[in-house]
Amino acid sequence: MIKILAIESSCDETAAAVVADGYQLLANVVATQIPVHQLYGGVVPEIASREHLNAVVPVVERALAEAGLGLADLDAVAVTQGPGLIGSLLVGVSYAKALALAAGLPLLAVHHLAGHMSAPFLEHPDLQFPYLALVVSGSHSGVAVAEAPGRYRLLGQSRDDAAGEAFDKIARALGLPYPGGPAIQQAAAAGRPIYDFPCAWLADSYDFSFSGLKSAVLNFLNRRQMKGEPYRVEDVAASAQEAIVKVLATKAARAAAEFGLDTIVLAGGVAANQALRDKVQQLAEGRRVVYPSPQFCTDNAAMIGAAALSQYARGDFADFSLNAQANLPLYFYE
Amino acid sequence: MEAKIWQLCTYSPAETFELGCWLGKFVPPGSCVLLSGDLGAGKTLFAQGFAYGLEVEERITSPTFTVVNQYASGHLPFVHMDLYRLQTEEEVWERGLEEYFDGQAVVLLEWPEVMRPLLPAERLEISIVKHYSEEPEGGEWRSWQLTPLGEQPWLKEALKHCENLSS
Repeated sequence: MIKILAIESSCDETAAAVVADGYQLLANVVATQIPVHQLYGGVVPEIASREHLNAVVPVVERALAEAGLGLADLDAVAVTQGPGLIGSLLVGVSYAKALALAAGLPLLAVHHLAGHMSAPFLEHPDLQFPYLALVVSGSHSGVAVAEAPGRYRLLGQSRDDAAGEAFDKIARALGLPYPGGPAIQQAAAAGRPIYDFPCAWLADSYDFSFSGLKSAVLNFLNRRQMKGEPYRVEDVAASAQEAIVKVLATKAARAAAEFGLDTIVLAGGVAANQALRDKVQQLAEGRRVVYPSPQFCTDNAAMIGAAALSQYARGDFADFSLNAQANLPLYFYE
Repeated sequence: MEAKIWQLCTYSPAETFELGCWLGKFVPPGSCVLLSGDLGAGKTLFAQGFAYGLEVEERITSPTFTVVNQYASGHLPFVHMDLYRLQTEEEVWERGLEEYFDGQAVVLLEWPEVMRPLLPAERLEISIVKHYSEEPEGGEWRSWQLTPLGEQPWLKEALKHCENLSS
């Protein structure tokens, strides 16, 4: 049985997981990051994300302890190479390289979005390539064809704000709490989508744009307030959610049809949104729609381990010159 | 010498992009440009114009979640930073953000307040205010205030090209 230790530190979360053959999850640890109180003396040699630096060792140790494994029991170490915040990525990459070198294990460099698109395997190991993936989170909105393990073709992505960011910023304008996705979903449940906010369809493209919707909602609120006209927050939330979800689901369904794909995978934090799941299902014309549980939608290391398993099987190893890459592209990524 | 404060107005997305573009064309290495304004004020569009002026080839997307996006394809390294999600100076420090001011990269910083104590003394501060026209379905326009701190002769050169925007 192949056992891979996976480390993810591309943005806010420091996370480690141990994943075995058949996408079996032996341990999954996400650090809720603790403030750093200890100051470093002297110069920090590289841009370093100090909170990840503090968390990475205990998080990895806990993952190994939960799995009941030592380094000697592992077959490989996997790590998110990018994209993300360079300082944060560097902590994970440097630590993974050191661990692999010290333990004599092969190293696997994983694309963060390949991780998100592989997350459904953890709960649906029967999932088959090829499939259409809609990756929607706070920092990404993209449509990709997952052609084969490790081979992804990006069809389109956001030209400005990500879908999750649109949820957060509209929630803030409505006085709803952070994170905005769940807050909007909850408010929307008590409202009706009676306002017609503009969807940016960007015809003939699988790209997205959510900046205009954000501005339209803000303008709507401002004008209503200027004129003293009332509105229901719940109705605005329902209308904004409808506008976001409609574009995402329509493009995902259209791409699945155009490329003849039987399965649509939803991934990333926004995949936890029920309205999105319902809309994709509704437009999917009988295609299978698969999405992970909430804990595998948001950033985690288990998904990195899932993507790494197929890389291991292909012998797609990194050498010790591996470097983090803040803008790592995703296209025919092999 | 008292710093000159520049005032401009833009009446369309194209004008906002153009203003960003001229500033991006003339901004010297190592500059720090602060961008303040409410949600929907036009910061992303300005940033896209600014990057265009810097000849950045990649698509400029919002750095709200990533906090920092870096672009290496322009005639200067471009760092697009957004502190919208950060609440405390400690969170800035934890991410090592002050190290991006390396004297070479041009740093465009949105929602800068939380980082003020760590900012370079020489910088350009830009604030945007969005205005709504009176009539019911009337348009909107933006007023811009540009405040250079320290000697920044490049700004005058850049703004020569924006005389149609001056108020």
